[in-house]
Amino acid sequence: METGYALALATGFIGGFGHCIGMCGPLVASSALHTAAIDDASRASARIIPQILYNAGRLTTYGIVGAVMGLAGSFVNVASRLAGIQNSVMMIAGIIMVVMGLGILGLAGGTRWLERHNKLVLGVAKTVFSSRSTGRYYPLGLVLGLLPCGLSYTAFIAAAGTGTPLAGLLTMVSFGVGTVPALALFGVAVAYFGSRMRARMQRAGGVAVIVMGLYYVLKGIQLYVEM
Amino acid sequence: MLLTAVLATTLLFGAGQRAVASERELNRIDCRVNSGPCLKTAEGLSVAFDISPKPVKVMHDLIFTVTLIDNGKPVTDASVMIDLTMPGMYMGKNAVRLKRGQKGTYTGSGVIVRCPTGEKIWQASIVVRRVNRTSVVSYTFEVS
Repeated sequence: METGYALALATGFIGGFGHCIGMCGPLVASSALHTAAIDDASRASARIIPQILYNAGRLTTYGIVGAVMGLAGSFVNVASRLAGIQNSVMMIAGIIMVVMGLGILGLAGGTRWLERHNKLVLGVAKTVFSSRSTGRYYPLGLVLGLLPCGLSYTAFIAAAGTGTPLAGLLTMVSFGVGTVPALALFGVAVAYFGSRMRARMQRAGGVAVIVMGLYYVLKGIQLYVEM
Repeated sequence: MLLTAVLATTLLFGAGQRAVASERELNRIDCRVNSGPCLKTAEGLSVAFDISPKPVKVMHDLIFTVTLIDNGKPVTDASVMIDLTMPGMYMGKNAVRLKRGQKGTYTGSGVIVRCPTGEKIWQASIVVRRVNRTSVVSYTFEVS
């Protein structure tokens, strides 16, 4: 069994650098740039703590879903029930990125418009944007831990194969821990450079984040269509 | 603008790389798995590969079947495993262990996962272990 955890950890570590930065990098970059633009990210702790909390949230979700997979003993049964939620999360992630981009550009009105017109996102947006506490990154990680991802699906297959909730949980936490170095380092690096950017470059970053957010929304819609 | 380029590259590099890989792999499809079993021969060992039910869909329980024939005789003493990978994208270790059946047939259940980018080309590397001999036969196929 320990071999299974080690394999999950190694899969997460290798996939973190080889897969996650390509797939989730834009989201992490958006969050880090938003931190740099909105908060004071000149201190190391201000760059690192959001990454720790974001990843802790993600690991919590992985652990819970892993436990459910282990309990059910079937990947397909649980995954098919989660598919709709995951596609929604993909779109929500895109919308959050657009909102972050607007925030980086200093267009807070966009956030208010979104909150008025989209009740689905309201709860998440309020938690993420109304609170000035660094703690808001934990719920963000909780939600975004549900993003559809081929690599995590493979880990979930292993979790389902364990046949027990505890082993399923530990498999997914091992996998998640493995992905942390790549994503956290990437996030900290973007926040570091983001805090040193001049206003014009920061605006350019905001535009890039909005474009990437729209890409995520389109992907989420595409996944819904393919269901 | 530099930052825009860096961030956009983060997103587009992966997508672009996948698009190039996809085009290349599309030309490398050597198994029309939805049409029936695929057959290859390696070192005199005939390896037939099939997946059911059809059409083969991602995120569904699938049955993988491998039939081994060596010099006209069914191979009944092998250990068979299928390693499922996506060309150009690391998707973790997804291995299906097959159980021995009758007349050189080996079956096992597994799942081909969905890639949110829309990639649907997969590779199955069939590892056949026998006494003093290991053969690997790969099939590239597209799923629905």
